[in-house]
Order: sequence, then structure tokens, then C-alpha cells
Amino acid sequence: MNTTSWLNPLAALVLSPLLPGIINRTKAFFAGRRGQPLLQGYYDIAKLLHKGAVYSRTTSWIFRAGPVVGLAAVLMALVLLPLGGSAAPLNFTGDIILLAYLLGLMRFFTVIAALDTGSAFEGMGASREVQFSVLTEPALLLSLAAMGKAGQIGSGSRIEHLDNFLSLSGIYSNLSASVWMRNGTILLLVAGALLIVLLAESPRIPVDDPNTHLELTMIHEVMVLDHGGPDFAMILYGAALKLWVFSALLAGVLIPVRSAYWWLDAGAVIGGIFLLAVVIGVIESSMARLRLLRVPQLLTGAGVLSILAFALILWR
Amino acid sequence: MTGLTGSDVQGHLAVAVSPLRSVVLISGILLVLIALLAVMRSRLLAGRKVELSGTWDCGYARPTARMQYTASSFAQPLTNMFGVLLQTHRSLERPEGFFPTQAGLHTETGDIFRRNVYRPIFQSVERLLLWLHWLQQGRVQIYILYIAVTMLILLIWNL
Amino acid sequence: MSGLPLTHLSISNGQAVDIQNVPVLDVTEFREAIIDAVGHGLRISALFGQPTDGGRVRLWAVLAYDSQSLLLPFCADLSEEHYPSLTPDCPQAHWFEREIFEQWAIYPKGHPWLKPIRFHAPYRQNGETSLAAGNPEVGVTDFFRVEGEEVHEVAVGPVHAGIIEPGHFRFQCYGEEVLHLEISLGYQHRGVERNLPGGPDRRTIHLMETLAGDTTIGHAEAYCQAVESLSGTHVSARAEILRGVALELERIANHVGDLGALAGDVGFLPTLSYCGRIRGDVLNMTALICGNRFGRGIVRPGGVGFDVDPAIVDELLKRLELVEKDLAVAVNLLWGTSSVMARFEGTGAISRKTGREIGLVGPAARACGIDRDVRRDMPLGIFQFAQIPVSTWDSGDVMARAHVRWMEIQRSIAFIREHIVNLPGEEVRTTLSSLAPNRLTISLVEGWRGEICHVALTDAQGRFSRYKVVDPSFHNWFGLAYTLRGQEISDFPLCNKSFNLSYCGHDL
Repeated sequence: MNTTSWLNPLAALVLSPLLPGIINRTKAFFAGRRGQPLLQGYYDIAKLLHKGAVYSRTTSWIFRAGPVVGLAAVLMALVLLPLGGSAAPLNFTGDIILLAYLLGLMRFFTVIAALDTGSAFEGMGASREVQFSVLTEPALLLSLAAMGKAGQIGSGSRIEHLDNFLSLSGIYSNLSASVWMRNGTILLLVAGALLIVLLAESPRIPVDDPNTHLELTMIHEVMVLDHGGPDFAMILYGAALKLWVFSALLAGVLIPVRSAYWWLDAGAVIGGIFLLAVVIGVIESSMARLRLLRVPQLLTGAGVLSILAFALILWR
Repeated sequence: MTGLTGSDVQGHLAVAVSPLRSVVLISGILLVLIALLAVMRSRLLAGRKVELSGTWDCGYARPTARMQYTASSFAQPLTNMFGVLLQTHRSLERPEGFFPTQAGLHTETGDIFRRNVYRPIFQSVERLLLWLHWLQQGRVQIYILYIAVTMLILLIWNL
Repeated sequence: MSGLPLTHLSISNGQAVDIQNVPVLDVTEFREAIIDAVGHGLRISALFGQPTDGGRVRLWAVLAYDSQSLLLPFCADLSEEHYPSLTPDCPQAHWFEREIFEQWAIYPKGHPWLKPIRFHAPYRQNGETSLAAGNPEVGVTDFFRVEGEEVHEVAVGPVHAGIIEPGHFRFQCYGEEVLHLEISLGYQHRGVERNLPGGPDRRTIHLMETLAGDTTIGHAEAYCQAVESLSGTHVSARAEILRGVALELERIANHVGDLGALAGDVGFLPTLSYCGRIRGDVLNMTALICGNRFGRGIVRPGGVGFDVDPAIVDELLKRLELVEKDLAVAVNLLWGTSSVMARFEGTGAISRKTGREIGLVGPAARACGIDRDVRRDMPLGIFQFAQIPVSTWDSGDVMARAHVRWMEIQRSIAFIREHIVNLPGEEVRTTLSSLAPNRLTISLVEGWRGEICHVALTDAQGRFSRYKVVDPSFHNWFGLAYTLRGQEISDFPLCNKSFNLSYCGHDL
């Protein structure tokens, strides 16, 4: 473990609320509006932290635990996340599973906190969230596994331990431009799958519309309808961090700069994360949201892409 | 006996143990973090207005218990998606006409393993045993005869 | 469709008749006449009660015979506090009968769904029994239930998350599927209709302009047509054209706003943003004429309140050109984007047969292939001389309702362009003489939402003894509720927006 490995968690903690701002500014640009300030995410969180709270009488400790556990889980996920070529602060064989489960824990607590309110709206959101996660989780894991294999095969001599294949830091440190040369198809499939997972988990168009004010069509926003004050600040911050995590996973694949300077490698990925925010903004500006019944098909598509990538890499 | 030395065993164990150590470490940090965040929130809320209210009901005057998501509704997208496997039985009486007077819904998702695996196995076993039912005559003489025949077969076997 | 013997009195839109000449049937005849006529393809434009001097209630019916451009008014005097309900044989009477029950405590016997619609105390004491329940809490009634513990209800409203009016929507759902939807309004009830008898006075036109804020011109025009007909006032051709222009501007502005909102509901931002801006441009064109974006003050009894000079006409034409160009880009983006079409097509479809039975009006009716438009069927004012083609589509879904709006926008633009350049004469407003006593008149206007029906009755002094307003929303709300059966609940906002009905226009 070295000091540079802490760069990603620190960057995420400081910069992640910027991502929604970038997305919104991009959308505003395409709509011909000026849009909200880039730093709106920070203002919102600061404002909410200064507020009191209102809790529903029907809720229990579960409702209050939701935002806390959610934020804590995503913070821990950050610690597992490598940046550029350098390893994460914590890494070990099989941490990709822990990553998936930490994000799963976050989701689980968001869902049961939503169900705890007894509101039909929040139940609706919870039900949708659970259905979609059933499809995104395998896509995520398979994508990471395919990437791990691709890195191993591509860079032959560079790997020392077999278990690199199952560690996030190992997977990402093996990636490089030469892996793209050899296994470009596979990485492209993986990137496609991860992009869909990113859109589904963030959650953005075409899966969810974060701008809608209509309870009946929302997924994530509707689950946190009854949260307010510091709790909601934690949820907003947690959502921004989660967006950062998935963006970092995708940017790490797309921009595997491996230079002699660690700061260049890391800077490229962070730049990539911001670029992805712009891409999300462009996607949201150019297409409509899917009918809810069609969303599983899109997510299944992500699964198929990742399965294809995995099959290709095994077959080689 | 197995030809493994102590260090070999330790090496193999380490592959399994070291991730577990990390998992335990991370879980520990997670718990501490949760506690810290909880404390932070209660510090923030100390001295501020913390109110109790009803769950958001769109300002409707008389919310009822039926306005809560039901377990079946919660699972419906999933039972639908895996409908081929789960074979949920749905008896739905739809509201008919412009002014329906009654309608109802009942669904039942059976245990597919019990229905498709265990039940067929146990049923065939049961059938087999029933088929042997004729052996059981309920007369002591016949049972003694069975024993005698069995012993006779065994004796011949060993010869 | 044809072959109905016109045994009863039939009049045209905006014609006043002596109440003495209106046929008075007995209740059974009254009921049969309506059911028979509706069976022949006529539809109920208005059905309402009027208290009589004897403490009883007179039921009025106005049937529209679109293919003959005729309106059939007739009435029946009730001798009891109840009558056999029409609804079981004629579903489009459903909402009207609930209104009669609520306003006048008259019990339509056999009505399958007798519940309040506006939740106010009855305007009249029932002589026999008090069937109407005192002063009920708004939105609290016995909603239809789908039984079973697995069914959940979703109660949306009266407070909505957007900037929209209050109403309560009660869904019976299983997971994502809507099994049944019931809509309960009344939160916007202001008692406008109750304030109108004794009029007209100086306030009346203002009440009319605010019946439904987005239909200011439509309702004002219906009112003005009614009082002009009752007083025999002639409106100059110049004023008629300006009224027509204002009405079509209102239609364009609202349709543009709806297309934008439909795009917004599926998360398609480009059209949402463009249409939001363009709607503002159109409203500003109205403001250019009268200084108010929603057209208050344009339509006045006897003519219009504002004239336009050639400079304004030029400016309007210039702006209209820009609007047309930008709008074509913004709206064609909708039809060209497959993800948008996937959301619009097949969502919230309603068949032509169902639409007829419910008695839909306006774009919602035309979207399911019902060829029905007051501007053509019952022309009055400028529309007697200038026909706007009727825009229909046959799929009955959100796509159809969006497309009908787009066609109507284009045709309205063409209409304005053609007529605003030929303004004859100088006079725009004549003074209104007093209203003739004991008259009945029916005034229909095709507002942007559909048929606006005003029925005015005068007493011996020439004051209103009853003034009935039927907003197009009154016909269409039930259609929206019915459309949702078997749909996904997440498509409700989209369906709702595709109808875009008025809450205050309904609640009055």
C-alpha cells in the first residue's frame, strides 16, 4: 500500500458531487439553457446538512439506518477501487465479489428503508430496483472477470500471481494499450456492458429519469421520497459516489494509460470519469427513456455482452 | 500420509485465509464507519427540529392500509420475468365493463422443486412399495416362511 | 347514424328559442328519447337539472346531432325526487347523472356508480329523503376495489409533485399492472355555476375567462355567443375573425405545450425544451394583441376588446413564420426518434367504439377516429365561412393524440395566416342590448380540449335563471380512467398528459 493508492478515494470524496453538475450542464447546453451551477451538488448537500429532519411515524430504525449504511458501504467500495495503474488501498483475491456485495448492501438498505415507510410509491421503486439489480449484478461480475482474463492473456509475462485475475487492482493494473491491441473486441464488449450497468445504477436515462417529477415512473428518486435533511444529504452524496465508482470502472477500461508517471495514469482516468459524465449528458439529451417493461431487455443485453466477452476469452 | 509438508498446507490455507482476513478487516471498518456516520447524524440533528409525521401520502385525507405495496406486488416483476420457471398461477377476475361491480386477484407460486423433483421421486418410490404390498399378508406363518426362505437363500449363497 | 326522426325541436348552434317551444316530456319519454338518440349516433352535450318554482327539479338534455349540425334540447319535469337512471343504457350519461345527484339531490335509480364528483353539499334540500350525504370530505368516497390481499392501491394526489392541479387518482394494482383506475376530483370546486343565475353582470365575463385558465378564450367565446344570441346582437365580421384567430392561437399554444410535455414525460429533452420556449412565443403573440398571454380581455360580449393594426398583423405573421419553422424541427424530432415512438405507440389505446360510448370530445375523440369537431359540425362565427379540416387519427393511443395535436397546430397556423390579412371593416365591438326573456340558447365552441358547451336560460326579466357550463374535461375524464385498465402504472403520467384534462374546468 502506498500513498498514491489513496488518491482515488480522496478524489472521489472531493470531486464526485461534481459529476451530476457536469451531466446537468451538458443537458442544459443541448437544451439551449444556461443550466444550474456546476457546484450545485455541493450546495444541495451543504444545505441539507443544515436542516432538521422529519420522520414518518410508520418507520423504524431500518429507515434511519438506510442512508447511513448506504453511504458507509459505498465509501468502503471506494477503498477497493484502483486508479490508473496503481493498486487500491485495499486489495486481495476475490475483492470483485466484495465490491459487488458492498454495492448490494447499499442497495439492500435503500430498498428496505423504502419499504419501511409503507408507501406504495416507495414500494414501487424498491420493486423495480430489485428487479433491475438481478440483471445488472451478473453483468458487472462477468465483465470484470472477462477483463481479468483478457489482461492476463494479453500481458503474459507481467502477471505474477494467478489471483490477480480475481482482484480489482490486479485486473486494472494488467490493462494497457497493448491489451486493447490484442483483446480489443473483448474489452469493447466489456465496456458496452459496463456502460449499460453504469446507466442503470446511476440511475439515468434510458433506465430511469432523474429529472422526472412523477412518482409513478421513478425508480431511485421515489425510494428516497420520505428522506430529508442530513439523511437525504447522505443519500445524495452516496449516489454521487456510486456514480463515481461505476464511472471509474468504465473509465479504467477505456483509458488504460500506463506511462512512467503515476499521476498521468491517474489523471487520465479522472479525466475519463468527467468525460463519461458528459457522455451521459449527451445520451440523456438525445433519447427518450425506455418503457419500464423494456428495461430488463436492455439490462439483459448488458448481461449478454458480458457473457459473450467471457466466452470469447475462455475460448481463446 | 498425504505427502504434504506443513509449509505446503500453510501456503494453501493462506490462499483462502488472506482474503478472509481482508474481508473481516473491511467489515470491521464498515461497522465503525456506520457507527461514525450515525453519530455524525445525531450530532447534526441535536438541537434541530426533528419531527414525526405520516408517510407522504400526496396530501390525501384518508390513507388506508391497502395503500401499501404488497409482497406479491413487490415480487411481481421478478415472478413475471422468471414466469417460465416459476409457473405462477394467477386467477384474475378483471373489472368488466365501464362500471364493474366486482373484481379480484389471487396468485399462487408453487414450490417448483417440490412439484417437479421431490414429489415425482417420492411418488415413484411409493408406487414401487405399493406394488410390493402383496408380500405383506399379515399372517405370522407367512412371515416365518419368508425368514426361512431368506436364510435358505443365504445358505445356498455361501455354499 | 341517420334515420332518427326529428320529432322534437331542433336548433342550430347559437340559436335562441322561446322556452315555451322546448318540448317537455315525461320522465320515461325523456329517458327513452336520450337512449334512442344516442343509439342513433347522437351524443349528450349537456344534461343537467334546474330547480323549479314548485320546489321540484326540471331535467334538461341537450343532444348534439353532429351530422345534421343540429342541437336537440328538451326537458322533463320531475314529480318525484328520483327517476330511472340513464347510465346503465347510456354510459355517457354517467358523469352527468352523478352531477345531478350531487347538485340537486335527485336520485337516479339504478345508477351503478353513484358517488360525488365535486364533494359539495347539495344546492337544494331533498323533499323526501336525504340521499346526498351532507358535506363530504373531498376525495373520500367508496372507491371501486379489486379484492384480494395481493392487490395494492396507489393513491396519487391531491398534491402532485409537479406544478399541476389537484385531483385524486386511485389505482388498483398488481405489481406494475393497473387493474383499475378511478379518478376523484372536486378539489378546485369554486361554485362558479351557482353564482351565474341572476346575471349577466359585470363580473360574469371575468368568471367565464377564469373557468379554466388555459381555455380563457374558448369559454369567453362560448359565453359571448350565448349572450349575443339571447340579445340578438350582431357581431362584426372583423371581430369574428379576431375571435377565430385568438381561439386558434390558444389552441396552438396549448397543443405545443402538450407536445413538449409529452416529450418530457418520456424523458426526451430536445422537444421538451424547444416546445416550452415556442409555447411562450405563441402566448406572447396573444399578448401582442391584448397585453395578456392567456388572452384575457380579447373576447368581449358584442365583439372583441382589442383591435389589431397592420403593424401588429405584420408582426404576428412574422412571428408565426418563426414559430412554424422552429416547431417543425422540434416536433419532427419526436416522430423521428425511435425511442420516443416506442413509448408513444400502443400506449393508452382506446377504441373508436369505446370512445363513442363514453362520449369523448376534442383531440382525444379525433385520435380514435371519431370525426367530431364543433368548428365543422356546428359552425358559428368565422367558422361558418372558413372551414378548418378536421384532423383525425385512428390508433387511439398516445401517439394518435400527439399526432392529432400536431396536425391541428399546422392547420390552425394556416387558418390564422389566411384570415388575419383580410380583416374587413373597422368596427370590432357593438354594445350589447338586454337579453330577451324566457329564452334558451346553446352555444358550442371547439376549444383546444374539445367541445365547450354553454347552455343559458333566461327568466321573465331577461336574467339568467340557469347557466350550465360543460367543459370538455367533463366528458373526457372517465375516458382517461378507462384507458388505464391493463396498462403499466409507469405509463400513467404519459397517458394523463396525452389527454391533458382540466381540473378546474371540471370542478367549476
